[in-house]
Amino acid sequence: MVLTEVPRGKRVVIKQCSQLHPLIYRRLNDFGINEGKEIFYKGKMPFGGPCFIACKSQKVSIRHCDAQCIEVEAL
Amino acid sequence: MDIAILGNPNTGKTSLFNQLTHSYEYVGNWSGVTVEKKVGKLRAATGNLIDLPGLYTLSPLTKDEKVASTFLLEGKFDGMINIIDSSQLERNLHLTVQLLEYGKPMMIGLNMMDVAKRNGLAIHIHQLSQQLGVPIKPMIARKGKGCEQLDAEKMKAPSFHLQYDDIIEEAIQQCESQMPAKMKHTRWIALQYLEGNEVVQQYLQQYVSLTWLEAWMKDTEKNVKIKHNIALNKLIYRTRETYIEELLKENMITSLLKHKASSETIDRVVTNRILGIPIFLFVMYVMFQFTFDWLGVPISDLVDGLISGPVTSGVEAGLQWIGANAFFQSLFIDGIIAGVGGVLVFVPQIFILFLFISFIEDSGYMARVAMVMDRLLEKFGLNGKAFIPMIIGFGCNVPGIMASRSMEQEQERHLTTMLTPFMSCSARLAVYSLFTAIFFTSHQALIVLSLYVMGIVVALIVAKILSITKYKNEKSLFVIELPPYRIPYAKTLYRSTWEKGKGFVRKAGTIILAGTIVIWLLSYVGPQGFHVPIQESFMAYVGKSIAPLLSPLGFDTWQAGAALITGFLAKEMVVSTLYVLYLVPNTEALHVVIGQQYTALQSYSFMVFFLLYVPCLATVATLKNELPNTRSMLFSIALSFAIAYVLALCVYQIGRLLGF
Repeated sequence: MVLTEVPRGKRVVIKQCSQLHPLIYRRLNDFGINEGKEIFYKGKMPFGGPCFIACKSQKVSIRHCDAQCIEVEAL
Repeated sequence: MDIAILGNPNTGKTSLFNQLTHSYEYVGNWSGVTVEKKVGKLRAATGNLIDLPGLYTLSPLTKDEKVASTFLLEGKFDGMINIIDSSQLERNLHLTVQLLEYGKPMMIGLNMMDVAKRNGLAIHIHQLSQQLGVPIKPMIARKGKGCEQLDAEKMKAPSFHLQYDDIIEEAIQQCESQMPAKMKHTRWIALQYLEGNEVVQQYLQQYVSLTWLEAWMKDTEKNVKIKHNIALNKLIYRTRETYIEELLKENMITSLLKHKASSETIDRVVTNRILGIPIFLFVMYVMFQFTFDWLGVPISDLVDGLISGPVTSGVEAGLQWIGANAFFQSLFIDGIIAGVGGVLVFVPQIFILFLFISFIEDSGYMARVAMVMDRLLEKFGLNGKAFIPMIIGFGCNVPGIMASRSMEQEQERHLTTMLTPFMSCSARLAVYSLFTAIFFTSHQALIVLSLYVMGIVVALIVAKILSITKYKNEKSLFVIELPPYRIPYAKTLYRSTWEKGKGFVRKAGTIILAGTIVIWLLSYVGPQGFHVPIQESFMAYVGKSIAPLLSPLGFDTWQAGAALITGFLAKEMVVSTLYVLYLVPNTEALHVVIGQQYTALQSYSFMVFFLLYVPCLATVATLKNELPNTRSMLFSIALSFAIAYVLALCVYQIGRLLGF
């Protein structure tokens, strides 16, 4: 499943995120968010606005369309 | 001795900088605050401290991240302080490893030890220091604890060596043998090149043949792909990641004590699905209420009373006592005091606005604003981060434009740069305050708000048009870190407010003062000689020459024309000019004269035109630096002028038809 399908507040592991725009991929990598990492889907803004995720006590916001490129599996 | 500070964004670099240097510098809490390298004198008087923009890794994605790599390659310095957020060790150490590979004398400042402790982290500092081969000092930069331990004398060059895969090690050796003999940091340069650091790649291409480098890079990439089936830069990243994980396993103890972060609770409210935008609008409303009604205007009135009362009469008495002639009396009273005083009156309001902007920046709310506004801005071809330069632009357009450097996409950055001058800066506030106090006494805040909103709406429409025409090739992107909330320290707030606001005070003493004297002279001298009636002065001729252009907009007086010309030097200059040209001693008298000469509609049309007509001189200089070429800058100015003219024309003509 992709990140946006995850229920709010659930822990998941990233399976695949190479579909992301290279810039977004690199920036998330800087935060230590890449394949195999455990993340938290923390919610989203209305009208298809950005969502925010947490990883190792840091919070990052990305757009809905980018979150759809992140394939995850439940822990 | 010159020491550079490097570290991730939001790790307290700038706080440390303030602690270690005398000069007051500007502190911020999101990734774009330190926009160029800043230099301060060390308190210990042993040298200079250089503050570089925050970055996560040396390979740059944004313009401000390029500053650090360029500095490491070309800057002259003796040592580095790497400041680390101890509650985010793992992420921060990626940069540390790259700096250790660079090999200059270095020291690590382990910041935010209090936060780490609260989160249940304990770190074996001594052991970690031995393993990395450089001194590590625990500290809490915001409170100034432990900063004094960062003694440049104790820095030492690290004996650090991280072993990469054999293919990479061999590639490094091949590359080193190609480099000129005098080149330093060869291992680091080779590694950064392989990792894809553009700045380093461009640098090395000056010394080593491009064909060789390309073949070498391609070979290495291919060999890594065959052996490990991953990309070269990923292999480098993984090697560091594994090393850091090992390091932390040995040196960091995470206790089960889980601290419930207050950030969570605040975020649940301010980034709430439904309440997020209303809360942001409410924050803006409170900010403007304080700037005007609640605090700003009362203080400004006090200052005005002081200037037009005791100061003017004091100077008058002084001038008579020393027997100054009419020329000097007029210069001081009608020129300097009226002109500069007219601007100083608004300084309290400007400071209050800056205080609020500093608070929003330092608290960590700014990143949330970007997130809350992203969806709206996406519709106009921008991303949420573009809102940060706009809010800062409310204070002053120049730092606003500089703040857009933290945007990843170049075209989005250029677009944001062009839009920021539409934001109504605090200098423009001085003019609105003057006119609304005359014509719109009962709806002052509403009228001013309408101008701010107009600036934003124009910016968004322009963004939409430009993003589907001139800047259509790049996809808009958005990714931002939401830093933990921090209650800004009073001292920090005071410093950053003063840092931003002092520019206005300085401007009043320099450019406004000089400009006022010139304007006064030009209004005192005419083709017929000295002390001519003001209608026959040079200033009147200049004003009259452009007045016909402005008459369709409703304000064809030569004073308005002259004021708009001087407004290009600094927006608040318009107020000084009006004081001088209407030959009035104080605000009340000016209110009466202007009240007689214009109608409410004409004054509103004037304010609309003035909001947009041309960025001030300082902003134009910044635009020239930040936009790709002079043509873009000229385009930006011409666009503002055209929009201002059309809008003011519509306001006046439609208003007249409606019978205002």
